[in-house]
Amino acid sequence: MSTYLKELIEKLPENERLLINILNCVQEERGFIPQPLLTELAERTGVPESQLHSLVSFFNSFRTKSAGKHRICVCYGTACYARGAPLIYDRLADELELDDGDDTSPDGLVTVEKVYCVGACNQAPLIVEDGQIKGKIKSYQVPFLIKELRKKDQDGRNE
Amino acid sequence: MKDCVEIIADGQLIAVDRNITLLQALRDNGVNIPSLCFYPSLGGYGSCGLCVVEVYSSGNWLLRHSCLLYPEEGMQVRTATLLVQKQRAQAARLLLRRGPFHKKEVEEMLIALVQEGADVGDLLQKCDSAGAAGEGRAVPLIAGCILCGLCVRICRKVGKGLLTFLGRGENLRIGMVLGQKDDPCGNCRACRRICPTGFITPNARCTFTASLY
Repeated sequence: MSTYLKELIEKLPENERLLINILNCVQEERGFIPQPLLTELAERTGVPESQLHSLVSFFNSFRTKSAGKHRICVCYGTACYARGAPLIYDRLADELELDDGDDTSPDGLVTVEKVYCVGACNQAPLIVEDGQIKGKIKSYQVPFLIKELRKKDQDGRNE
Repeated sequence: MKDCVEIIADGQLIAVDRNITLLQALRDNGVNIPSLCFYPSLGGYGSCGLCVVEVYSSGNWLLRHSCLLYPEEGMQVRTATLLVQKQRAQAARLLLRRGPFHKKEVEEMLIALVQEGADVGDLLQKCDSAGAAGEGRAVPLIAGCILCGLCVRICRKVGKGLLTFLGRGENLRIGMVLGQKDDPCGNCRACRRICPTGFITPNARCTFTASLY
């Protein structure tokens, strides 16, 4: 872990070595921010660990639990909400058998998140699947989407 | 050496130190101003909103937190006008929603402030104040804590900096980050002593169970 953090910091240009950038990199690479890393970051930077926890908890985009293989963001912006984002989310939660308060399917395949406006309101309601926007989603399409993801996952494993 | 300036508080000319907050200066001169989140050595924070006063500035009387202001030469302040009372009543109403509080005197003080504001206010406000303490909104995440931040600040100053705010908005709560070390929190109990509502019992570790991991 300790070389990991060092390398990560050194990869950043010198004037961008801010806590938030470092945390962003970790989030992007690992999908979440592990606790030992915060402890180490606190030691390295001299910022109290409690303040790092505060920082991480402030932003919704930082996760503290490990994420699934794929990531589906359901847009909950005003336009998407009005056009039925909750229906899509509920259907996703149903299909993936998410427990209350849990956002990753038990098999670790998909993590479902709510996000607030991705800026493509003309395609409302939309989801972002692994960084790719899919617009005008109907809730009945959700099972097919998940089936496709499962298939992709299976194919990837067989190769 | 004292750095003195003269200000006018409620029509009276008083000389105060310019390096202390307006709230402290007014209190030193016998003006009674309520507040919950102020502690002299920690400075102002402005989270309880009870210490508002009216300050004269370019033709208008403005409502300001006196804990965040410093006296200036010729500053004019009003501490007990209708507007101030109404504002304090509103702040007290919001704080009461976070109750019930362990310290009864805090609750009584807030209710008194609400009533003071309601007496001069209209009938509508009376109805509102009656409803605020009871039903209406969901019970807060942690009843009894007003999230004033005093414990967080004192822990950073004299303790080991283990307390912190977690989350934001409705989910704002206070958490204790213990890290990997054994028994990092000692027993200074500064947070327990400073808590205005008596929420921290018997110690911070038992009280603040929220954590990220």
